[in-house]
Amino acid sequence: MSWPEDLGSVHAVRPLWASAWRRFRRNKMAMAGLAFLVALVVAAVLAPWITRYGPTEGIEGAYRQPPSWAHPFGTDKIGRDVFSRVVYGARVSLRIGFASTVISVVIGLLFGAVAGFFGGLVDTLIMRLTDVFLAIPYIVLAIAIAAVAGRSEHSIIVVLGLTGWLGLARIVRASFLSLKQLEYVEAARAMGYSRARIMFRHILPNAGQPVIVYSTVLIGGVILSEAALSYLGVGPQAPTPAWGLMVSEGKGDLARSAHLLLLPGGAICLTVLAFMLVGDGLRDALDPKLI
Amino acid sequence: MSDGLIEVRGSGPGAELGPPLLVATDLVKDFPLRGGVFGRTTGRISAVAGVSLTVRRGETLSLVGESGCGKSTTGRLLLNLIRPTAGTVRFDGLDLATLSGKELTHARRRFQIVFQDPYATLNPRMTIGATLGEPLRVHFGWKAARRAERVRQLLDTVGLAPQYANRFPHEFSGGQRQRVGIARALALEPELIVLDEPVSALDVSIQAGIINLLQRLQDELGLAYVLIAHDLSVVQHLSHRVAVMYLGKVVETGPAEALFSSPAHPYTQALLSAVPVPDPEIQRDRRRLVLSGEPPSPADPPSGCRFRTRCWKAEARCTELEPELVERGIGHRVACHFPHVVVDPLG
Amino acid sequence: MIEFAASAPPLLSVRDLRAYFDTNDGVVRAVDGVSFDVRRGEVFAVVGESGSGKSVMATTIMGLPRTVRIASGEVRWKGRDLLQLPESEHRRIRGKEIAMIFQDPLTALNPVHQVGRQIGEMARIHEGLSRKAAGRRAIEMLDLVGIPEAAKRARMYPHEFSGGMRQRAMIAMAITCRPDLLIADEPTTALDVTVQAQVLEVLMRIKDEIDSAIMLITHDLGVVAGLADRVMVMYAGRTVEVGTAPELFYRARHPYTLGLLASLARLGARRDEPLVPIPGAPASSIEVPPGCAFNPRCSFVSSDGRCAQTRPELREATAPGHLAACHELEALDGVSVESVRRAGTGR
Repeated sequence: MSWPEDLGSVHAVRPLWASAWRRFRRNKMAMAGLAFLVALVVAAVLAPWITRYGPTEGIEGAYRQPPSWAHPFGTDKIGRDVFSRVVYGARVSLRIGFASTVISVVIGLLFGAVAGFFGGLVDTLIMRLTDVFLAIPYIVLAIAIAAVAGRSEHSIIVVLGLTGWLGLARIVRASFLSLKQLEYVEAARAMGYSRARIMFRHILPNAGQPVIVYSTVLIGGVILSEAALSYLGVGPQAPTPAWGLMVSEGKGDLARSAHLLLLPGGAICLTVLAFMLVGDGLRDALDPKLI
Repeated sequence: MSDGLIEVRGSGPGAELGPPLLVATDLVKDFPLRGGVFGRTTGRISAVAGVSLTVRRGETLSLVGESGCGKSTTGRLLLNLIRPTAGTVRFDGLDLATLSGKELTHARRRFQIVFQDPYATLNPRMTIGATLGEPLRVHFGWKAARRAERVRQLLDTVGLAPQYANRFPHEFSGGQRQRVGIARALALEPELIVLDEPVSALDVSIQAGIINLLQRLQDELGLAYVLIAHDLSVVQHLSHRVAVMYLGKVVETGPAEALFSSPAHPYTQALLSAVPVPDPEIQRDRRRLVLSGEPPSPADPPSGCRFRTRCWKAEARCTELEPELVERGIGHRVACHFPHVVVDPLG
Repeated sequence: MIEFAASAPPLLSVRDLRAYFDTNDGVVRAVDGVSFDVRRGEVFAVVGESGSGKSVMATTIMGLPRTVRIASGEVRWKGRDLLQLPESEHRRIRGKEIAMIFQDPLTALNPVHQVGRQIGEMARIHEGLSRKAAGRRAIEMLDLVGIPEAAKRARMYPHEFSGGMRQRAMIAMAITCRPDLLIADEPTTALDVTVQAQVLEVLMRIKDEIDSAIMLITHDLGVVAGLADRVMVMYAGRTVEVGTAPELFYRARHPYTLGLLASLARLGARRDEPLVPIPGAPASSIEVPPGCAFNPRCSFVSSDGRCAQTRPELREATAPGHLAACHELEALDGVSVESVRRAGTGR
């Protein structure tokens, strides 16, 4: 059987994700960021097996020691192994980073999609709501929530989750607004599909790329905010090994034992940078113009 | 006038025009112009300003005109993809505006649309098979095996190999995507398809294949087409009847042969004479009616006849009185105070 | 060396030009062996479908794309090879001796500057005119391209112009320094037919007035037929046929040219006559078929397999200066667009 009107064969093109991965791999900075993050996640998961001391375990007589073979990151003023605390701290940071980002993505997707899809009054209401949220500094909100619910990891996740969705909602709304104009969405309407089907099956999957990129960068931002809140004492309480808290505790000893501040601080910097680099790499790799 | 004027079916003399399938009456569509900080309505664009059309079963009615004339808006009004400001659309007797959501969904099976841009018309994240199978699932609730069978059949109908069903749109050329777009429109076995510039985004050598396909499908399935196009060579090839639009109004309508061989409205005459013909001798020797200026803004249309600002025949009367569509031949109607037939615009 | 049978030395002479882009997916052979001459005062049309390399070829001559890699060839302008010139000297020729008109004037004109200033800028840069003199020149040029109230319009911004007016302003900008060659890349594709007719008329009037040659790049064979003295057809980055307009339209020899002409829907043709498409899709410039790039779509492929193995050279076809790159030129003797059409429709 032949199809005489169309002798052209289809182009052999790689699947979308394979070609995105190929482009991502070529970006050395993004790959370095990804390698760091993979190492960090592995270290956080395997923390009990790669550290010799518990994160809150004080070692008799080993106070404020500089880095050594026994304590690669040194010890703090009450004799805790800083390396252990930084590795366990990664668990806290990653947990908070991922959990609050998930909250932000869910809220942001929902509000952004509804605003962009329906437009009109709904859109105006949601956008004004985001303006109201943007006008509240997250630190004030954090202090308020901490005052009501107590200082804990959970309250910090809630605070950051409730403030991180604003940008995402705007991005999702913008892509919905532009995707709504595309002919295949109009075609879906002409087919008599329901609004829910059009929204979830025809628009949402195509709005995924900016969401993925933004969420990746958002995790980095959340970790940074978490560090800031911990530093201010609004976050997890001592002796939880949170990086921000460690920096805060180390700041008094900056002159004598700079490693107490620099090592957890460095962990924050590198982690945030790695998320930014990966996000950047994803942006280029997922750019539909290049596919 | 000779019988040639009425005999408009390509399939030979004696071919009967079908009964009316779609009747649009006095369609009006205004779009508000918003401005200011609070998005107040500061004016309105009258995109479609009183258009009445009839499409019969099995025929092609073409809407032609330049950008901004309202032909695409009219096409969407006919399918109820946008709601008219005034006027009615009756599909096989059903007034689309009065249908409930469920009834409208049900009615949508019967009229479909094919879009212009082959690169935007397919969801990039769905395989061709999923795109074609989806309407069958939504409307008929068919199971996967039955859908797959129908998808194979649809692909075959539009001249594509059935094994393409599990490929993604980006693996296809523009012409192939347009075939998929046509297959999707056919999936629910509609009676009418609106073709919105179906070939204008395609390469010249590809266009002919799509035009042949559309023509074959019409002959085999008895489809009615509303063709929206600016390329008059394509329009002439596919149409039984043509409506020429200018600034939201129909200025001339009639059987394709009559309209192309003896256009009576000055705008139709200018439009035809501006079509480039790929023949150096004809092109150099033909009498050219080059219009001055460009269409005025639909936010502020001229009084009287909307074409008068570019018309070489315009007189005082054209400013004051809007011309009505007046019957000139069988089914050939013209809205002009000074219609005059130019025979053979190619000569 | 190819002979194009010219008496006077050509203004522009391009030989075996190859311009490639290195991309992630491989080398894009955008221009892959193009040879032609443009003579003083003539209209030389370059025809091709999307991806044929016609636009890249034009910008390469202008020295515009930075990422392009010139793999071979020469571009002789009044005897000097432009590809060997340092950027500073090339810049002096660009705009002054060779000027370009782009397809989309809205993106080619800077939105934050007054139209008159942008036009005058050319004269200030290339001729060292004072601001005042440049302003006068701009008004003069706007007047020349038929923009009413030129002095007033010169102070307006591009977004205040209509589409046709913008394209006129682009032309005015291009002719400010009275170039010897105007390269017009799809100058009317974005315009409606009645406005297209106006702009083309302006372009031809200007050509005579400033006595320049025009290289008209387009996919529209109708536009070419009306204006061109000579025509080159490109396919997959290569010259497949070049000759005078009558030779090309009435005695085309390359199967691609023949196929293209046969595939067109023509005004005045019978409705029931099917069109004859070229099978398949235009070749991708990444994976160019070996041998003749057109061979997978060609219906005249030789039986000995040459077409899929060796790349055909340009050879003289029906007359001196009429060249075609095809192995089967002799076998094509007597083949016409009509006969291709008849064979395609089986009539």
